[in-house]
Amino acid sequence: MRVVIGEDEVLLREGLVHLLENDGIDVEAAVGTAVELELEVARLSPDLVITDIRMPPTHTDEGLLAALRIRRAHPGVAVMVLSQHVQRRYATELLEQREGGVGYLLKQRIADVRTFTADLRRVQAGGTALDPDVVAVLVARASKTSGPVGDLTPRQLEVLGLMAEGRSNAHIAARLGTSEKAVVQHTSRIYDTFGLPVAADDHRRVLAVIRYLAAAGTA
Amino acid sequence: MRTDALRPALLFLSVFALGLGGLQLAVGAVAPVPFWVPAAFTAVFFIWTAAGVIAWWQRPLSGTGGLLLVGAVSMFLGGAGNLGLPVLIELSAVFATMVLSVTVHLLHAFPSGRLRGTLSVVTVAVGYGVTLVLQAPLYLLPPDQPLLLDLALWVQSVVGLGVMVATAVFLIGRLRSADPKNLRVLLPLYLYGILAVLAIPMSANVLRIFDVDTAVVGLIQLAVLAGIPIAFLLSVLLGGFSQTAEADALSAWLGIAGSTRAAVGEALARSLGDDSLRVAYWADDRQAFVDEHGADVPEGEHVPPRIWHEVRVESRLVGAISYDGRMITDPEIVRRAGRVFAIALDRERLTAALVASNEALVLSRLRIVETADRERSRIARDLHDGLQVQLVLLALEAQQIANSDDASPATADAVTALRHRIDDAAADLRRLVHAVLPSALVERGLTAAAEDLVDRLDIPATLISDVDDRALAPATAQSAYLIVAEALTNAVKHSGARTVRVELTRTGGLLQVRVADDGRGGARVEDGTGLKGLVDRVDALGGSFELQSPEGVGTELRVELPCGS
Repeated sequence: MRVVIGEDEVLLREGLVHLLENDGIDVEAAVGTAVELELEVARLSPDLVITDIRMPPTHTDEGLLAALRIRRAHPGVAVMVLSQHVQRRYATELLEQREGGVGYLLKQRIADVRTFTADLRRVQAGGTALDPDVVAVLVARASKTSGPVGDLTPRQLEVLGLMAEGRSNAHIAARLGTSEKAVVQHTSRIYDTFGLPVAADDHRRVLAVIRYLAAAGTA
Repeated sequence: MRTDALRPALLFLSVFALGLGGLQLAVGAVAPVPFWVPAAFTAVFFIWTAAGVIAWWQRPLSGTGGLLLVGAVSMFLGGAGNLGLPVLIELSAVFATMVLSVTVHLLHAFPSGRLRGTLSVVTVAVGYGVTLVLQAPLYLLPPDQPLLLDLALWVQSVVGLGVMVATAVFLIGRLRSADPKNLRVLLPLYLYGILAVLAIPMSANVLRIFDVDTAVVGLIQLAVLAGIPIAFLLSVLLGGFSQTAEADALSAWLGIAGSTRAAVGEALARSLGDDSLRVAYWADDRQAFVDEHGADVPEGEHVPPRIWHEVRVESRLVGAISYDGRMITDPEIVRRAGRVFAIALDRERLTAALVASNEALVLSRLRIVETADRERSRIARDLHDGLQVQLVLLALEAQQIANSDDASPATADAVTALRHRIDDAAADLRRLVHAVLPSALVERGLTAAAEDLVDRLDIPATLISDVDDRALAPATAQSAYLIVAEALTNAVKHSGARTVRVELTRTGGLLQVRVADDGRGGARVEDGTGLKGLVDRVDALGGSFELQSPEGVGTELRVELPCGS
């Protein structure tokens, strides 16, 4: 996997490069600004872009805007956005452009190296990785309004959260210490409750759930 | 004299004069002279009385009104002889020409009503002598002594003429030294006065030469006499000479907010009755007197007949009043006005000082808010770029140790646990940074930050915003965010609200923030430091803050903030 990194904090950038290379990921370029990032992406056409949101010169949301442009201009390039704080609006913006191939995580998640690299690989393969923090906001928001989300059991809510993070059934089963079969039962119950058609592929399943949650909150 | 006592007295005087005139008319109707004679005398008497009362009423501090009333009395006494009653005939003989000396007195005393200078006093006194003392031989001498009578008449005429010459000289002197502003009134008045006094005694002889009927002569004389009080009254009222109650006028001026310096000079000139009056202001920085426009005061203001009166507040020189000593004869009046002027000047100084210190205060409060905001931003940025990155790296390093091949399973577990604790610390730090200054506010602005707040709230909340975040000043955006955050916290913690609604709207240069919940109400600004601090902040930014929280109905907070540059 060929990766381009945009991160203005030198230590963190170097840490990321080191981490990825240790895991056999090929870091083709690592830059400190959004402008350079877009140039490198155009030049190298990597498999995945990892970018910070706040970068020079304005230190506002240029990293996110660059990520959105890259997703539009380079359909083959997956994008992982990292930030010190996650919020629903950015997740929605990243997800609504095109299906899958996108991740949005807190920077702190880097430390859990194996999960992080697994997330990178899933995103690169067209999957989704949403930070538990932002998923919690989505689920809480959807439960506040009267609707099916409020009718779910605590266990179903747990499964729902992990689904929204983009996890596979196998991962969810391992995480909850249960069988994959039990997880499938939970997920189909959730699908029934939400009135969603059962999707064949994992990625589509996750997106359907996230979109359902995002829409439920605005009602 | 106090106005409230003066006015009833003048009213009473008017009624009394009306009665007296009525009596004269009634008796005159049956008198042995044609009726028009007492009627004409009564009319002239009324004119003198009315002029005196009006002048005194309008210019209580001028003696002119009083003198006109003395003239009215002499007119009455002079005309009473026509009624044919014995005592009145004798009284009439005694006071027949007194009105002429009253006129001379009026001329000398105008406009203050008080005599000034020995020449004036002597001339006026001699004038009264001519009409009262030198008149005596005319009615005391036996009528069969024509030689003596002629002699007495000659003496009276000569001395009377002397009085008029002295008066003319005196008045010409005054005209020559008068301020040009005052000439337009003084000149016609003096001319009319002198000519009237000269014409009345002479007219009989002159007109007789042309064989004019004595009745016509009498009527002409009465007409000229009637003109005298009218001339003085008009001069007093239109000339702007005599003092009205200066304290009244000045205190009225003091009451007008934002009165200009030009207005104080005019008010003083009007109230003291000297159009040539000027006020000067002591400019401390230039160590010189300046006028209301800041220009230097000409030297001539110190030279007699101009009088220069300096005004002080607690021995500190603040200004001066320059006036014509002939127009205002009583320096005490100017001193009194000066004290009011001093208060006015001091008020001006204090107002300027207050405005300046208030402006400084407003700016200083704004600076405090901006400094606080800058500090918040700096702390949040330092944490974001420093400690937050450090915790990511520490956790990463710990996990890499745990993952390394040479770590024993026990070590790996322990170090992974350590990594989890670092992650927990990072989560705490994330909440802290968010509370200091949320990322959304830095990255996107108010609406995004408010949306993040609403997203994370424990109760259903709606956000409506039409605000272009990029167009708000940082202080406005941060303040509005803090207000929304505090209001939402209160809605959840204290109001027990089930839902809450946040509206951000921009109208012109104002950002309106409205947060309304359906909780139990009863919230007060004084109850917590949170709202109180925000009130101060809104105030410092020049906004408005309104909290409505009726018991059991809910709480609504409305704040308006200038959008800023």
